[in-house]
Amino acid sequence: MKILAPTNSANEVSSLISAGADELYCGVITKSWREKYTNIGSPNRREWSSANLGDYRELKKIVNIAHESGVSVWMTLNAFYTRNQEEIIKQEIQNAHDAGVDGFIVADLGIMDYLKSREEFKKQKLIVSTCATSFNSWSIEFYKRFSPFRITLPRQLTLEEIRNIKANHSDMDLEVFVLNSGCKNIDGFCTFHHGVSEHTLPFLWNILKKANLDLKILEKQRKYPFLLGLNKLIKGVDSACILDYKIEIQADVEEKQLSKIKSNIRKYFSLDTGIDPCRVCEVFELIKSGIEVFKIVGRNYQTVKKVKDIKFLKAAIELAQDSTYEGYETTVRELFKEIYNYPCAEICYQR
Amino acid sequence: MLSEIEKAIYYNNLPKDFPRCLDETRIYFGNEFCEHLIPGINETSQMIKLCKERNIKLSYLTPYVTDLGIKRLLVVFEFLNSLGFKGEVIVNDFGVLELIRNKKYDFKLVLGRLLNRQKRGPRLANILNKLPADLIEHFSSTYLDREEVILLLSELGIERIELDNLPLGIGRPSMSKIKASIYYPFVYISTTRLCPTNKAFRQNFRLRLIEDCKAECRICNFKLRHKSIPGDLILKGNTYFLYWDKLPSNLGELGIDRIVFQPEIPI
Repeated sequence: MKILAPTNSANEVSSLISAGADELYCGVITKSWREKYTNIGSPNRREWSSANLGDYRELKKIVNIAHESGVSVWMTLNAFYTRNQEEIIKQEIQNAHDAGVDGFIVADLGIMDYLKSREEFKKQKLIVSTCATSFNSWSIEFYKRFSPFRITLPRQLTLEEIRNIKANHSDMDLEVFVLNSGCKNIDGFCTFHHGVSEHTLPFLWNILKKANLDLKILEKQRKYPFLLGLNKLIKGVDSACILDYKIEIQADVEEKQLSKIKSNIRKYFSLDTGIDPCRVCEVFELIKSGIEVFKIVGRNYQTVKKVKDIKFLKAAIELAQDSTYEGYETTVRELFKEIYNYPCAEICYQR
Repeated sequence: MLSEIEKAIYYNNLPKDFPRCLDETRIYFGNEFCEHLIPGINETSQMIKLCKERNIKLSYLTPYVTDLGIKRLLVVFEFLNSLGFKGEVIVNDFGVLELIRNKKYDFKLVLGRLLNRQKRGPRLANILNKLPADLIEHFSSTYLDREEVILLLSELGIERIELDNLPLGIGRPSMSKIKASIYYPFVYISTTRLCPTNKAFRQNFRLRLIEDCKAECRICNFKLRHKSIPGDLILKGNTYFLYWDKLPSNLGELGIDRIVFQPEIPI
């Protein structure tokens, strides 16, 4: 069983490894890329600068530290690249190769094919990204033509669906998201832009990010959920899936039902549901199903949160390997409270 | 110029009042976004009959699917195959493509609009003057138009790609080696299995739980309005759309030889 953890800085790598990370992943947005495509056109599915490294020197530092401990480093290149980006993205791959990464997380078929066909990248392994939308057993079969080292399943699969896919592909390592984020829409199919406010309000964004203010607020909200009410003040700043929409309903239903529909749909778009969800309670069953790798989301999170996430997941995996199911779920919630110092909010993927 | 372009009309269901005469010479039938709404054999059979009576070609639309959806599609594919159907099947899931190839069905393979990965988020329209030209060019294009990807698609038996009519405009090489269709006036934006419409009808709901479908999308849709988005977002079922009916004037130059008209929200 492996823990794949996010990083955005060489300074935190030792802490992440000490906490129990078996593998690390990161992304890079260089200055030259940003000049052409801004952060909105990121070369990976995290459009915020704070989620990315700024250059390949930093990547090389991360790789060097990680490799000293036998930890692999994956470069995330899971956007889709258009004609004018073709040469640039190949240069990015070369740069990452030169920095010594162990492989790439990719969604673009052309890049998968390129990596497979080029002799110089034979040592780099391929992880098929969640953005490749492998929702069924036949899609795993499809991606096998690119000789992947591993395939990441979409978040929006139930335990039963994951179990079924794994049963049909016992020969293929599969990776599952278990902590944080949890977009309401499907990565890979979602075409909303993120990071718009970073581009349009760089001054405000820099203040927020330099002080880590957004993450500090989020951390307080995890601990004191009543503070989620504050989110009303910042709605509309960034992601389109949580904008403060005016909603008009066209429904062929009775008035009484209409008010319930209105209330529910407002809740659906509410940022108040934004506390990080997880599926660690399912790790026991996922291990039994043969899942090999558990991925944590949150490249832009503070190191202290990343370390807690890794420690929590590591403890949960150890527990799951030596426990009955009922005992596992109860104990894992106790573990959560012990490590994070606040109770689990019970916002689960698929439960 | 439009007269040289094939016209198609899009139906999710059998239309109640199927017109006696259609301008269109092709019907798109099926579903792109939800495995619960895949038309079964009865509906498909009736649509085939209607098409035959009117001498109209049929393109069968398929959604992204779990293994359950694969089973449903397999039933329809076996049925189509038993009829000797050699028309188009539009795939929005590489698993479905793999299934069709594996079963050696004689369908013409078309890559659906979910797999072209065009970025359609409408918020950029209000900040175009703050964006570099390279970014706009990137967002008006699809990765499918890269030479190496076209080659790969050809090896996979893909004969056509489907595009959305982007408000930013469409950027395609003038001599693209793969034919394309363009859908209008509903531009696909995003989709989820955590169906908001389904949750809207529940007494209580868990945000991230995929729940049983009762096809609530058949009686309800939503308009979402925000100052950062020009026009309304339309939410129907599990999928978001934007309404945009201004087709590019240079379709021929863009290698687009078919327009697909969606008379209703396509779900």
